[in-house]
Amino acid sequence: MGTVSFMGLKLSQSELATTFMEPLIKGLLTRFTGVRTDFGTTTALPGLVGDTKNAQQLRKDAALGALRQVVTAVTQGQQTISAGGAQLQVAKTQLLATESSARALGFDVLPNGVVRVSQAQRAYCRARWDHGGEGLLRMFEAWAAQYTAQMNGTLAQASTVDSQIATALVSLATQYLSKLFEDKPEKLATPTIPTTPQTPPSNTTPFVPGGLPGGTGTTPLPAGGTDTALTGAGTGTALAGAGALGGAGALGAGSAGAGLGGAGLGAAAAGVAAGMAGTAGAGVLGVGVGAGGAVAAGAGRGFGGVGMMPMGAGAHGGAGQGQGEHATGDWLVDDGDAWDPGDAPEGVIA
Amino acid sequence: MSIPDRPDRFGADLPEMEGAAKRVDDLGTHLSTELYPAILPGVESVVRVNRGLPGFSSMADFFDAAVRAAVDQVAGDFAAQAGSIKHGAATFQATDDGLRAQAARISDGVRPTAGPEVA
Repeated sequence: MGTVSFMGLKLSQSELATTFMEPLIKGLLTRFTGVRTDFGTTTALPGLVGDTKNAQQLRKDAALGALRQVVTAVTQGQQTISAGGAQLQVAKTQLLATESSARALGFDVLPNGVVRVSQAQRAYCRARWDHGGEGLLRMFEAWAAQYTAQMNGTLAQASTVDSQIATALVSLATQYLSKLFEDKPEKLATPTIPTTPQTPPSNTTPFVPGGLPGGTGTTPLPAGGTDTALTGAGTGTALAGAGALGGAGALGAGSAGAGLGGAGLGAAAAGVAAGMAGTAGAGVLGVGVGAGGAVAAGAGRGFGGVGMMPMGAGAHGGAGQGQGEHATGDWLVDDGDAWDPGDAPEGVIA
Repeated sequence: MSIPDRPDRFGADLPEMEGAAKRVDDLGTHLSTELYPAILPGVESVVRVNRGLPGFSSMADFFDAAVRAAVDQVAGDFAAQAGSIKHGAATFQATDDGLRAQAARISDGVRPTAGPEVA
């Protein structure tokens, strides 16, 4: 499942999942229930007795069971979509708040979610270069980086929720609906695993710049961090893992980065989970600004990507070795003749 | 559907079974051709305006493919049930006709003929 882009989230209308889809699906479920009741009443056939009645009852139960599976799947699907849509709506609100805050201070916000110092800000700093303008520009750049990091964190959250919706729906289809196509519908099982997305940790407070410009951070968070809620392969963690909602690779895509850490002057250490695509590898030292603690949530989101590089390298190495064996093995054919040095191809010392 | 164990009751059950078969058939058709498809345009529209959320496209797959196939399957079950009931009704009808014919033959066979006591 792909990641959610800045514009994708900004232009989304995930609230429709709640305001439109929910009543639509609930209405459908009500009518399904009516059909089920009607079918049950119609097929009661009290005049039947004995084996005929038993056979009829089995068929009736099978059909009712199948419809119940559909109703259950649709009900859970609706809950999944509503919960996921609400979470995406929160993420969108947060993204818009961050963007609005950045624009209010004169920053440029690019369509890919990157915040940068605007020409007007640069001109302002240049005009005061000898009177603190240089420091001011550094401060602006630091703020821009913080804004960008916060946007990326929000987008990472949205991507996770979005992936969870997809995973949950696939799980529902597999658990409830695929059984309907088996040969013995009367033996339908009753799955019990819930598939509603969990609530991810959320950094709900938009970054608010403040304080004096700080230097480069000296206390980067360890790559991968310890945020098990985002990285664990486990059981009941909020966003990831191989649990009910999971898919062990749910967070792998686009989250290969390491931590963007920073410690600001006069502020607590503020780890910002950059964790976005293209930053695989070691940590990137960020810049801490006064109130940077507001964007500390989500540290260690890039954990999944760290292990990918060795895997890729190993695969490549294996392929190379295989080709080599093939190239030199062609002349080693068991033709039944005794070995003769002349059998060796050119370049092979016999 | 087999002949009921108590053939003496089929006469009363026949109209009920025929009605039930038609009703069940109608329910299945309604389910798959009207009731469920009615929500699909709404689902599609929500997915369309949320193109930027890749997970939402799976919602279309879920409703338009998985649930739809399941609903069609249920409708198929209903149709099979209706067919089964129809078959049972036809069997009842055939049995009924046979028994009536047999009864008529027996009735004809024992019909009193002219005899001394009649005369």
